[in-house]
Amino acid sequence: MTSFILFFSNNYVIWANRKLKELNIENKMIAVPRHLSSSCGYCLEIKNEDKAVAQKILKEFSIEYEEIIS
Amino acid sequence: MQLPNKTIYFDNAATSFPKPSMVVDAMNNFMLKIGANPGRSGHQLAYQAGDILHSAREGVARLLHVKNPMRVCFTYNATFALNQIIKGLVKKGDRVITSSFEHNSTIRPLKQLADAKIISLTISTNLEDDLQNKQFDHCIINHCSNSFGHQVFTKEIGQLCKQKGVTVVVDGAQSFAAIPVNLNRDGIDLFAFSGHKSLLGPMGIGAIVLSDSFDENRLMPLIAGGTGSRSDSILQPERLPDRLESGTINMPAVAGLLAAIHFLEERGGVNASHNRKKDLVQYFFQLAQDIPRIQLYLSPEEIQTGVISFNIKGMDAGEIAQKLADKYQIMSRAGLQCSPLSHQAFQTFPEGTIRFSFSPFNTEMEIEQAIEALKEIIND
Repeated sequence: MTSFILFFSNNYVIWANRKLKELNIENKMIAVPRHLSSSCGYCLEIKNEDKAVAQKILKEFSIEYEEIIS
Repeated sequence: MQLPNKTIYFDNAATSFPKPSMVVDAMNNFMLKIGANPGRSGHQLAYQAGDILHSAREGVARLLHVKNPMRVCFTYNATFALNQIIKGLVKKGDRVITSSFEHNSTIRPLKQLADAKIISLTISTNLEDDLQNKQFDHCIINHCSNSFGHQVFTKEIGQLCKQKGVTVVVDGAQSFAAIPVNLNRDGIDLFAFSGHKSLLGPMGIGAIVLSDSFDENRLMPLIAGGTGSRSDSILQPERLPDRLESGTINMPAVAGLLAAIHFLEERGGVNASHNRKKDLVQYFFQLAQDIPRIQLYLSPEEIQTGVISFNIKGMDAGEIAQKLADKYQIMSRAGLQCSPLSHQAFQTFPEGTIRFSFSPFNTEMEIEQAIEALKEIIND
């Protein structure tokens, strides 16, 4: 099962994608599912079990995100 | 790097030339193989474009010692960045201090605002004294003179401004990638630069860089539009960098800028480039002693950016520059270099000076040729 990290800006998606990968959190950039958000561009798909650690990493590096939807 | 027709290019303060081939290759690669608009669509080409864009932000942030790459907001050039900063920052009644060495990209927007009675403007001939003894809201100032090559804003001025609660805006067009800059250490709140000068990047790309501690809500965006984010809203995004990056970014130029950063970092960084230009300036001064009637305005130690202004007493600067170009293929710039204030300060107004401005690609042999050319022109 997966979760989706949505961002206020696409500029943060790539930053988050790289940082999470660097810290061994598997994630995939995908086009934002339209039922989740009407924003353009992409979001990150992660495993559900990585949600808490992903949140911690994003907070530690001040990478702002909108929400994580499971 | 040998230019065609034995051209000697000494006009790098206007724009650096030639560019490293990896800069050109990166731009071509982007236009031929990637091409997409980052941050809009969700396909692989958009990801690749976004990847380049993010790497470029990180590269700029690294050079300026800024922690958060989102504090780097791309513009077309330093002039646009300065106009956005100045006109987005000041409020009616603000008191602004600037130096007597400003480029028109700073002094003209300030003068516009002063003439419209939005701000009061002090063009200072003694910044430390004026900052100590008078009250200001903003210090908006040149980092290094494009005409004379000396450093105008110093970290001592930055520290004084911090003590006095004065916001510091620095025109880094000549200093970015030319001297070591650290926004936090130097007390700079907002920094503007172009990529096409000392960085050896392409024209058409510059940036506003906000220090990690500056409150971006104080900077109102002049341009609003599509950002690829919050597409469900007609409101301009508040978060950086989107707040200040409406419309499509010049992505080929971003790709070139990123390649230029790599080129610089692979060759010893800013310090190596800075030292190389210092050596060239020193060499020029050494040989210039043999030029009759040459008038130099600073010592080589005072020159930080590889820029030398000079005159030959009794001769027209424009005519000398023309002869250097026509007969000797030596490219320079004569006149006021868009900085009338600097020339008023050095008492070279209105005639101006001949300006040689070096890049790390210039050579001692080119300087020797230029010195011989000047001697021949004087003797003709």
